[in-house]
Amino acid sequence: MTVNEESSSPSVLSQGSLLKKDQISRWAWVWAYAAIVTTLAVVRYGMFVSQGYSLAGYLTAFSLILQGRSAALPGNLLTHAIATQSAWGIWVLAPFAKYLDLSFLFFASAFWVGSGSLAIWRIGLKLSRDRGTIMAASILYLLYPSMIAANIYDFHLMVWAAPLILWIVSNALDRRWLHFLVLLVLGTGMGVGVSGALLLSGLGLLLWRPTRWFGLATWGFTVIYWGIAHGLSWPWPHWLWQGHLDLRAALYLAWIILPALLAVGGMVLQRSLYNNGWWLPLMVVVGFNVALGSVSSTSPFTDCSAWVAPFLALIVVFAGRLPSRIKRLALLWSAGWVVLMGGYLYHATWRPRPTNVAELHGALALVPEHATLVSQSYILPHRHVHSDNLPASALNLVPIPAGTYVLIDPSVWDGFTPRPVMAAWQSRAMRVRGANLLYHQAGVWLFRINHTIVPSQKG
Amino acid sequence: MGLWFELTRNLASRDVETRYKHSLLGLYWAIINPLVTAAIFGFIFGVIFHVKTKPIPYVVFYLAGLTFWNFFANGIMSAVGSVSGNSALLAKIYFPRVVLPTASILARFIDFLFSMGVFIIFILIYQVPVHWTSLWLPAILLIQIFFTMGIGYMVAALNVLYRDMTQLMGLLLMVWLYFSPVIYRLSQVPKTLQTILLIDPMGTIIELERNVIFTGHILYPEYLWVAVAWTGLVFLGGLALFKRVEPMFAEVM
Repeated sequence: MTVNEESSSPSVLSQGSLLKKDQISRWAWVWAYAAIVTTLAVVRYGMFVSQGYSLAGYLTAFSLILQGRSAALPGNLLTHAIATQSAWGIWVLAPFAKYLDLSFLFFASAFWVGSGSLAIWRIGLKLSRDRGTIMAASILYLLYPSMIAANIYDFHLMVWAAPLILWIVSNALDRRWLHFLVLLVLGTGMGVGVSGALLLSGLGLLLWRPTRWFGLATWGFTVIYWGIAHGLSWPWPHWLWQGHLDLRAALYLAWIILPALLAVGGMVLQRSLYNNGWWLPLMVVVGFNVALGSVSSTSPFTDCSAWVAPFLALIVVFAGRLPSRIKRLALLWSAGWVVLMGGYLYHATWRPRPTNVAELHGALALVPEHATLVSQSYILPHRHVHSDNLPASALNLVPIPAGTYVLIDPSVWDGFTPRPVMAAWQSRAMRVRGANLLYHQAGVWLFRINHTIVPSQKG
Repeated sequence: MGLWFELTRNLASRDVETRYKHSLLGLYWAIINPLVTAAIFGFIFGVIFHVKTKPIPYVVFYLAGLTFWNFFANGIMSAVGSVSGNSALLAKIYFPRVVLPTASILARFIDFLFSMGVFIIFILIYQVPVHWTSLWLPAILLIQIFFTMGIGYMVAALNVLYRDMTQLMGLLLMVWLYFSPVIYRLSQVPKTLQTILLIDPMGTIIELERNVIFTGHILYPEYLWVAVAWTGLVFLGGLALFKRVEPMFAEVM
């Protein structure tokens, strides 16, 4: 047995153990976040509770990649998701999703998002902020609804960009060029959409003198890399161009007005909160989402708003030592979001959840492994990384080849498929000609279509 | 780090030695305990209540569950008193206190290896087919070890402050045993209850361990990552709690 007598000097020992204790606690927070979000995701998945729309697209892309086929999905389905945007990260993730189960994606997402709080701690300590201010920034980030709601039984590389922003800023502050550049390269694996996140974090870094060179490097890297990869033909300016400014729709929404009021309240109470360059990228994100003019894009519960969270945390952590009333406001803000998110999840997904889970499993068992399946978003991920999937809304958009299997459960609306489309699928199921009915129990229909359906022949 | 490992190893072997040194049957107790428990459960559930465990013979089924469960339960019960029972050692020398519960759990792992030997003999006697997926067993065991250590750190630290932890954990482990799929199949319980039982990492771990040995595929793969996430939290949470309470050890003891 060895006795460590030399290191038992009280001051050295207590400092060392305190530092270690803090690090362990911070990691425990990350694991706690990962545990809670992964559990919620798996339970929702097991109960077929919506949504899983993007997850279905990614799983299809993984399957196509592993079969050595192109991962470009037909038409404009899941445009934000897939390999047409040079998201090389999905080549890396595909074998993990296939061999370690799709729940690995839930865990990896939750863990990576949770790790953003570690970056906030590093930034806060570097800027000599007090524990309460850093904690307030971490809570604002972790409890922002899109960081949770977009991860519970769904998957988005856009959400993965949120912790990336924080890690980029953290490494810029630490002046760790190698780590910083590795993170920029990792950003390219998340697809061209994430180039927006890189440009915005670069903007924030540019506005602060000590990190100006890192900001320039971010802009230079992003423009050159994506310029070469896409010839500056990026999807998001196109989305913005196609979008129509519908301020009325945006302003009516409580989730735009209430947070804005709270933010203004915070700024009035604490001057340092607005005297801060990180407002600019935040405003760009919110402005972009409002300009898209859809409920989904402004909703804090979807992946579209994911980048708000890191910039919000950066505003708080860069603002300086905050008085306790501001910290209480931050807690109130986060608690409010959690309550709203609970209501949203109950109303949008839990209340209309399917009660015929056994029948859904029964019908899915009849679909051959490599057949193409058209179904609702919450059903498709249950095929795992096996074969081609198309969301039920595809009826309006792309030709659906003969031999495709269609599994529909009209009793539950998945939030994506227009109701007339569901009605069209159901009437097709009931026809004697044109489709082979394979299963019909407890409102679940499974049939195989006999001839190709083109969008003009829908219904 | 090397010294840390050496200390843990030495304390673990001392634990095993002192546990069996003056006993008549010595290390055989590590074999007798799971055998008797499996025989009792086998008699009650297999012979009296005719609980179906097919295609696995019920003796092998119960032995499988109890071998892995006993490692967990015995590890925790050893860890509870590991710090409070070594007050003389703590007063004399400085060393990282977390070594004590770690060594206790490691000592129970040595017992577990003997129980595994018995389990393998029974598999051979009953000629139960074992699948190649059993090779995953060390990885699943690693999750179990970290989970046990996490809980072990928590109860070891709390037992210094509140000595009723030993009684409480005894009671809690008894309840936990019946709420984990140790002595019954998960497929025999209603679907909603299955979900609740699988959120408990020990439920998933026991189910995984039995699945990889006897069925060759994982029946509830999605809960593997739930178990990993909770294990990480319990391990780090336990360690954080231990570190927080550690400065009070000398004062309290």
